[in-house]
Formats: sequence, structure tokens, C-alpha cells
Amino acid sequence: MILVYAETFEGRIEDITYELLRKAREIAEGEEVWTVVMGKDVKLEGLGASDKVIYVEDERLNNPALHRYALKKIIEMYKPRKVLIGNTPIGIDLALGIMPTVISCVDLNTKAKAISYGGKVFVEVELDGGIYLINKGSFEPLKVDKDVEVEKVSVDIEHDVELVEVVKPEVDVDITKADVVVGVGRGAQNIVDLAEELAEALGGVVGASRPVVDQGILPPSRQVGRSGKTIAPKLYLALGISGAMEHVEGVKAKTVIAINKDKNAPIFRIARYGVVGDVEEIVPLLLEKLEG
Amino acid sequence: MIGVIVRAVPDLVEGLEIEEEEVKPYKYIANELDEYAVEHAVNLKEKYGETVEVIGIANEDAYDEIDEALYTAIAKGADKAYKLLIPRTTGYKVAEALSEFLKKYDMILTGTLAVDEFYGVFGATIADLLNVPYVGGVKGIELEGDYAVVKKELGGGAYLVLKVKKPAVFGIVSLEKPPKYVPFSKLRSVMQSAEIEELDLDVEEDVINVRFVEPPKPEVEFIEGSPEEVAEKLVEIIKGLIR
Repeated sequence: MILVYAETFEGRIEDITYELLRKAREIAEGEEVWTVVMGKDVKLEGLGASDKVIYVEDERLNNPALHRYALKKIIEMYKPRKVLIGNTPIGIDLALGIMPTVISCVDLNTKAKAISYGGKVFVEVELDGGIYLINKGSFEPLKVDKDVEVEKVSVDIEHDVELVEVVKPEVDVDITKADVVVGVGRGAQNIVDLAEELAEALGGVVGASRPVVDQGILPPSRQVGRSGKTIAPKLYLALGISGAMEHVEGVKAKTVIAINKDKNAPIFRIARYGVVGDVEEIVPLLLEKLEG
Repeated sequence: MIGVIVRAVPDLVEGLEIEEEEVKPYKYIANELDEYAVEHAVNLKEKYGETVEVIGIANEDAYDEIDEALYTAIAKGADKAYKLLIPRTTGYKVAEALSEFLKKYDMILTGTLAVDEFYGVFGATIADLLNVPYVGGVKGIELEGDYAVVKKELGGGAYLVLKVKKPAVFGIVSLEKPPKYVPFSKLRSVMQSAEIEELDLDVEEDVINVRFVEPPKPEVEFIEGSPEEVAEKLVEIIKGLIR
């Protein structure tokens, strides 16, 4: 049996779950695909690609930090051959010592293909079974509205991890809805004002990579990537962004143009057009020519 | 007492030699997120008077290079440093070898991930072996008696506040304030006075069936010319794309 972990938050099943279901269905050779859902009052929708849903209906599991202990019990009870989990801030904590775990998978067949070393190396791992943490956007979602058998189970949760509160930032701009995003990376952190101007000239907004947000140069609402937002603009103009996996996972742009000093920067792997050069020199010229 | 684990990892800036069975770095450095873990630990020492010990993990090639990170940790306030030599193995075997030693800590901090980590999550594995709670993606820690109150990132600026019974293991993902600066003179005096104790633990070798490959060459079209020419061509392309 292949088990898919449904990532849920505040009663809603996250989209990554349906991406995992697509792959689970594809690699299931005559075995069943089950989905495990945890929490109270979760809206069980679109799980028709699974043969069965295991629903651990427990109010304590509205705290995602307890899911690793419940998942461990579910694995011990049902002994799945493979467990598919999203490589997200919630999913990454579900790596368990009880099964071999491959992190940052971008594909999974007889071998798992993971991306490591900051996006510089693909690693092909061959295992009989295990836990696979799969990057967002690796597969097309498979959301099927069909009634599925739901088995309700309860499990013991041994550890004392209490959810005190969920803190959400104030959102100034929704970068997920923009047609044009100008991305500011470490290499462009000195020209945020010019990036803002450029974004405005193009009718878009400014996004950022993790280091720029960590330094407080732009707010977390602007962060693109695994620990930020997924953007899907017509154009993503990446300024001084190296293109670590953490970042590019959040880029689903139709076209990417990247400007970076380092011609080997991984950002060029997802770019349609590239410029090897200094953003501090090129961006002012772009503004001049756009306005002129 | 807090234990912090700092792993030597390939320095990605210096480049890598990718062979089918092995990735050979030109240089090793301390894993950045592990250094953040050190930072959190010494902040907890300042605020709550905790004792902090740092454990460096390195293979033969990086066994000397890890010293600098350990001395830096002491210069920042850590009370003691150990280091462990590991063979070619997996994180599971290292965690197994270390778990008994780590029982003396009521809190263990390490980076949520290391740059070369693709097989298992080290901090989580340790927590499972010790049968204690694990939370990764942590950016803030406060202490309240027998509990640690941590901020776990969810992404996009959202986070969970969790109250966790100690002992526990936390995977650190970022800092809430800039790291401490260590002047070279201070580092030098620590290097002359402090000692790093070598841990005599047997770490089993382990090999998994793995193949390393270079990602395919990008299909990017590079725009060349003087900055003026590049800007002109880019504007033309951009106008075509967002029309």
C-alpha cells in the first residue's frame, strides 16, 4: 500500500496533497493508495484518487506539530510500503527515524530523484520503500470528487507539544496574484527602491528571496519559495537571485528572466532569458529605456 | 544543559566535483543553519543562564576545518566543544552512535537541514532515537520552566507558537536578530586557550544505493552585449511578454 499524507491546515486540505496523489496513483502497481487525514472538522474533498481514507479525527491534531507522532502510529498499524509527504514547512517535520527517508524529491519511480547541494546535484536513491518528501510543483494535482471509503481511527499521542497560537503576518500586497513579479535577491538588496520602480513601471510587484527577508529588507509577505509564497506571474524578473531550490520551488512563472553576476547560478536553469551582469548597472538602464 | 550539533558540509561557493558515486567538495564549512543553532543556544545562555555544549561532526577531510566553527562557538559563549570523526556513512548511523551521549542534554539544537542532506532528517532522527519531541523550522526559542516555547515557521511570515516539554530536539531554520560578531583577536585567544575534546564513539559505516548526477544544462538564452545593448534587448523582450 502507498500512503499519502494529506497536509491540512485549519480544516482545509492543502493542494500539495493532490500532487502527491497523482504520483501515488502512477507508481501503484496493483497496490492500493490510501490517504491519511488528521485533525477535527477537516473538509474531506477531492480525495477520490485514493482507494481509502484513514481519518484520524482528533481535535489535538489541529496542531500540525503533533502529526509526526500520529503518523508514526499509522505507519506501525498499516505498514505502507511507501509514504508520500509534501516537502513543506509542515511536511519536513514528518521525517521519521522508523523508515528510510528521502528529502527534496522531484520524481519517484523505481528510484527517487532528489535535488541536493543547493540545487547543484541530483541524487538518485534506490530503496525498497520509505518516506519520500516531495517538492511542491513536481506533479500535476489530481483532485477527484468521488466518494471514498473513510475509516476513522484514533491513536495515542505520546508527546507534549501544545499549540499556543497561530501568528499570521499582515499582508500588504498579495504577490501570488500579480502578473509581473520583480524578485530581489541578495545580489540586489542595495537597489530595492529601483526594483520597486521597475515593478511599478511593469504593472507588477516586488518579491524577494529568503535572505533578503531574513535581513528585514523586505517583509515576509514578499517571500517567494518553500517558506514563502508560490507565484504564477506571466513574467518573473529575478534580480541577483542565485536560485536555491528553496526559492525556485515557489516560481511557477510563464517566463523567467534572470540577471545575475554568476553564470553558473542555478536560477538560469529555470530562466528563458538570462543576463550575466551586474543588476546595479542594468536595472537603471532598464528603467530609463522603459520610461523613455 | 543545551547541546548543539554542528556539521561540516561542502562549501557550495567553492564548487563540487560530481562523480557517480561521490560528490567531492573542494572545501568544507560549518552548515549555516547549524551555526544559527549555536546562535540561539548562546542567546539562551545569556538570557536564562543555560550551559551550552557544541558537538562538531566531520569526516576525515573536514576534521580540521570544523575547528574554526567550534572555537567561534566558544568565543560566542559556548562552554565546551567536542568533535566526532565520522566515516562514510548516513545520518542514521551518526545519530545512533551519538544518541547515548546526547542523553545528558535537556535541549538539543541543530540546523533543520544541512546542504548535503537528502537521506533522513538528522535532528528528527535523534529525537526519535531518544523518544523525545522534535520540532523543525524553528526561528525563536524562549524557556518557561520545564518547557520551551518555540516559533515554528509556516512560510510567508506565518508561524506557530508551540509549548514543548523538555527534553526536546529543535531544528533551527533562521535567526530573529543578526548573529554575534566575533573579533579575530578574541577567536585567536580562544584557539590558544580552549580545547576541543574528541569523542571516542564508534560510528558504523553505511552505504546506500545512490547515484549522483549533474542536473541537465539549462536551456536559457543568454543576452549579450554592452549594458546599453542588453537593456535595450531586454526591454523589447519584456514588452513582448506582458503586452
